[in-house]
Amino acid sequence: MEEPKKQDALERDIAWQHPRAVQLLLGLIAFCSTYLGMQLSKSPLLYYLPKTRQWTLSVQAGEVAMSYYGLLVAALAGFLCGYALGWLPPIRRILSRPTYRRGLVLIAFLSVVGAMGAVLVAELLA
Amino acid sequence: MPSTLAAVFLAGASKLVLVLHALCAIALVGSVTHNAVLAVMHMRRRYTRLALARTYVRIIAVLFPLTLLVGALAYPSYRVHVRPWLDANVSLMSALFEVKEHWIGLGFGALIAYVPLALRVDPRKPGSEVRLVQLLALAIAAAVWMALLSGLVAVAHRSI
Repeated sequence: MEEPKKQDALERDIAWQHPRAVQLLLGLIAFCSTYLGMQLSKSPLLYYLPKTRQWTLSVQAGEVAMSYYGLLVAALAGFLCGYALGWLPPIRRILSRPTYRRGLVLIAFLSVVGAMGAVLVAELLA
Repeated sequence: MPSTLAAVFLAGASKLVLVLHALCAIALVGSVTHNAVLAVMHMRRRYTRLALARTYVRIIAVLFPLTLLVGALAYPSYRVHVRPWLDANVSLMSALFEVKEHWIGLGFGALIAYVPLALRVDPRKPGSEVRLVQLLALAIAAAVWMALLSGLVAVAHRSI
């Protein structure tokens, strides 16, 4: 009788409380990965030119350009992709297994803190 | 006003936008700090003020994007008027301001996942999801505090 009780407690301990937790966490991981990847790789982005009030995909040398808006838009698109991936039943089923749940939570948190640390180091060293 | 600055979006109202941004940031820093304190209390298994914690989450869900939006409106003026001066005279401050922007951007991503989880998750129940919500509350608070302090120091050097 003791064993099933212990099993129930374990199941409660590792069950998702939010029905869309997998989608949200995959979205978060994708947001941070996209943001960091685009920032560090200096990938082509949507740029805003404040002096001429124009949007462009390429910037000429010496031009004052802002990449922040484009970076946020790209990261939001990344979030949506991650969310959509987590919405797929096979992915959701796999990531709801006890072994993967804690790993997903850990990766989600490390992606936020890791990205913050990486941009701090990159900007201060630049 | 020089023609370059006049062409910048909202350049004429940049000081008003900056004050609005500061007011939103002050309110936001208060709510994220209270939220972080409650998260630490919940980590230590002191489950008090659960309804208040959810109220803070709702306030943050409104104030964070609002502060980000108002800051984004002031950003073109900063980029043209302040950033070149900081780059030339206080390059470390310029780098710190960039870090602030990135931390807020990443904090915004964290917020999108944090708000629905924090409103649903019961901290009294065990589970790794609960710990994630508490840690994200601390990460968001750290990003907002960093943004407030670096913003204040940047304004102390040169304002839009």
